[in-house]
Amino acid sequence: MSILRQSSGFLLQVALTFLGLLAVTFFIGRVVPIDPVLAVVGDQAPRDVYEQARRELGLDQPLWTQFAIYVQKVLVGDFGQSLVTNRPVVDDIARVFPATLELATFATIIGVALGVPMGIAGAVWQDRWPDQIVRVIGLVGYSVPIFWLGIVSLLVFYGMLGWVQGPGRLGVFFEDIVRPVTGVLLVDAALAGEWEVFRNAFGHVVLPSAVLGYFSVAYIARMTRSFMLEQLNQEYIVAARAKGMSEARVIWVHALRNVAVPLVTVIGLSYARLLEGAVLTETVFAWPGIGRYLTTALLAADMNAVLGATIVIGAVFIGVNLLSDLLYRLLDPRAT
Amino acid sequence: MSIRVSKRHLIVGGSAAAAFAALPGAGELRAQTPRSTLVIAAQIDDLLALDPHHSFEVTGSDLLKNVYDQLFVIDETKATAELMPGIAESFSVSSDGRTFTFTIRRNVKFHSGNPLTAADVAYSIRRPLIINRTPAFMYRSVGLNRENVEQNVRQTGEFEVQVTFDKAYAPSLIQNLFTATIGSVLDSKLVEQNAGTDHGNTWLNRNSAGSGAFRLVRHQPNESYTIERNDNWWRGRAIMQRVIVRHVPEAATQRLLLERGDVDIARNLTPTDISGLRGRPGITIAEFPRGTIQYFSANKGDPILSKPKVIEALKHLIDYDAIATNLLPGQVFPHQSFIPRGTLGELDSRPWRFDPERAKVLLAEAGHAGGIRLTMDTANTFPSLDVAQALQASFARGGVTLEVLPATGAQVLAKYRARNHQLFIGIWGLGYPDPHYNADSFSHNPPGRENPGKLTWRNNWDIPELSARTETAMQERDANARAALYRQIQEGFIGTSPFVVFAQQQVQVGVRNNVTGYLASSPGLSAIYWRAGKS
Repeated sequence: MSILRQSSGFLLQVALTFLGLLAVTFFIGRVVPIDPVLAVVGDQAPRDVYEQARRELGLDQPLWTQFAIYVQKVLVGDFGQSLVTNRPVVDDIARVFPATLELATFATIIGVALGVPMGIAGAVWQDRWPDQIVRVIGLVGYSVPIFWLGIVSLLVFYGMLGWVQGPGRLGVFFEDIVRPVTGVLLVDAALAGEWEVFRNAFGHVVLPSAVLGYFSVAYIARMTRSFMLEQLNQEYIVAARAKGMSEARVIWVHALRNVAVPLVTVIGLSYARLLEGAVLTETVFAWPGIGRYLTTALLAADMNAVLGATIVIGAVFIGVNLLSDLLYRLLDPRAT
Repeated sequence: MSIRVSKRHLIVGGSAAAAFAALPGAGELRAQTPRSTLVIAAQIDDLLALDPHHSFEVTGSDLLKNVYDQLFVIDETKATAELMPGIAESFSVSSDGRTFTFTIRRNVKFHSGNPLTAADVAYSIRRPLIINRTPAFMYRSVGLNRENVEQNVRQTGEFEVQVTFDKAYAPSLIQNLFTATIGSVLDSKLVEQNAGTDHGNTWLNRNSAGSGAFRLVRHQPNESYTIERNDNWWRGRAIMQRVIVRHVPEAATQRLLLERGDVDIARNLTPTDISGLRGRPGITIAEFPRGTIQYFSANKGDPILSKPKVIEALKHLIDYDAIATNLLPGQVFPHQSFIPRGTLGELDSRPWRFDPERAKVLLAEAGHAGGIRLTMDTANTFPSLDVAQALQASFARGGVTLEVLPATGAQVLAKYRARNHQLFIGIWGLGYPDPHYNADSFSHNPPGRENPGKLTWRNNWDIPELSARTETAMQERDANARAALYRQIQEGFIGTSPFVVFAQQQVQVGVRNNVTGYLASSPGLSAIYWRAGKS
């Protein structure tokens, strides 16, 4: 019973957050001094043509009516038509979001796989050389503009060394070989057994995800280090050591278990942030992800696409938060 | 294939990078693009519509002019726009000059295999007005509209179409108009089969129904498009089997792709990239003039700007040469009249020079010896924003304090149309290669009519006399006499208009040396792919 009440309260909370998100994006979209009618009929249109298009777009209705219609449509998954691509916004997002998902997932895997051990090393050997290295990496990751790092890494690894494939998601001659199922190219290629396509796609994703992953590594390592340092000063660690437990066991089993709880939140947030789409990285690497889609739409005053993409990103944020909340409950027995 | 990695490279790369060498996909040596395919890196995120009766961007023309045929063609081998017969083999004009009879070329086939007939031509001239998207204004400006198009566009034979306009327009104007993307002839049977509820607009934004040199085989918005050769094209067969244009937003990335040989052409390079590529073995820089001019304008509805001497002063406060040589080197050349070079009636008169002392004198004569403050609206994009910032400095030397107001293109446009600006800076592209297209906006403002589409109206420029002369030029039948009229109109325009045209754009592209015959821009206002080859 209490679980039911708890989860229904939870759902209500999510629904309210979502409605708030819809309202804010919708009204901001209507307040900005951008004329969606001009985008349709062009700036040379005479008054009568202009007025007709305005009525057809429903812009002569009161704002509240427009909002009600919008919410109704969004609920059935209709974000309208994009002005830039002339396709339904939903179709566009279904195409660009998997590209970002692919990049963000790789980057997060890199971030966790390298960042957590580095953070632990930094904490364990505090103020000694491993810690210094971790700190420098963290600092550089914090201060180097990603745009610059992207261009330079592209220049070195693609331009000079030729170790990786160039910009874009796939070589132009590999396109259309694999039928999109999930939209995530690597998965689709593997499902179809097209290993040449898989190799090419992997060659393309390596560099941008490594660049993004580097920033993830820097962030996760810094956070892990500080969480770990806090735990290592606790009394239970002294007690565990006093019992003659091996240092490895103390760190990896006792301390890490307690670090895991806040760390999940940190990783979740960093993943969610990457899922928003990394506009600069996507631009440098000609990666057709959601960040670039949103930016292009913004610059073209394509409000349907802007609202659609913002809502999807908002939903992803809510989703990831939810997920890390659930994980939190699993990891911390007190939090039920 | 394996690749040898020197120690020095490893140090450059850093040890973390060494790990990637072992990954799949790595270790492939630089691939040349196949001989039968032309691969172009370009910014194509402004490619909004693929329906030729809806498209209104240069990137759209670049694609659509290569996929569709128009009634007339601009000879792409000439530097100045010269008309040639297209789908219309010949034409005659009625004695009152209002009715044009076009004889349609026989034995032309659409990509679908359907034969092209006069029915397709009549359908294609009516359709832009029926779907009524942005470019429809071009047809409205010659008196066609939704209501009269059924009656005024008639099929009078299997290969004959008659069109009646509201006035006796110059034949060269009508011919030039029908070279535009909006003049594309559609496969009416195919479009009708896929008409849906919007006369095939949605369908045509994803598919093609043309008879041109190439057919569209693939398009992903903001990613790429692919066109494939039409082996039965009436003008001949393209050399390349396939052209792929890939959207690469970042210029530096385009340059890298070109240097690596992964693309044959990089379409949007910055002056920095161009100078970096000059002298590189295997790469040539090619330049093509483009029918787009850059200008700023003064709203004469503003009390300060209504004074002719203030506007004259502003014309002395822009460093025309420095903009072409220092600010936008290679991207523009100086130009001061409204008809771009390469078009009928072009005029290379450039009387204005940067002269801040003269400007001060003029301002003092206008009663502003202490200087003035002005605002300038600009889109927050290259090149207008960059020029606006340069103008701040040059205006200051004449005692004009300029505040630049950047915003998104759509916002600035709304303000401009509402005439709420003082100064506006922007670019203006030809919609079809005829002087009237620009004259209609720069030297025509019939009194008593509200028309936010015209730049003259937006800047409150009241010109009954010049408007009448523009209308005369529009109807002059002799092309040479017509060109002379436009030159006279421009002389007047340069002297007294509230417009300061300061440059014309050119396209600079990086091309790999083995590519021949590629035109990034032409007097017909589009890229030409069918003559491109590889040696």
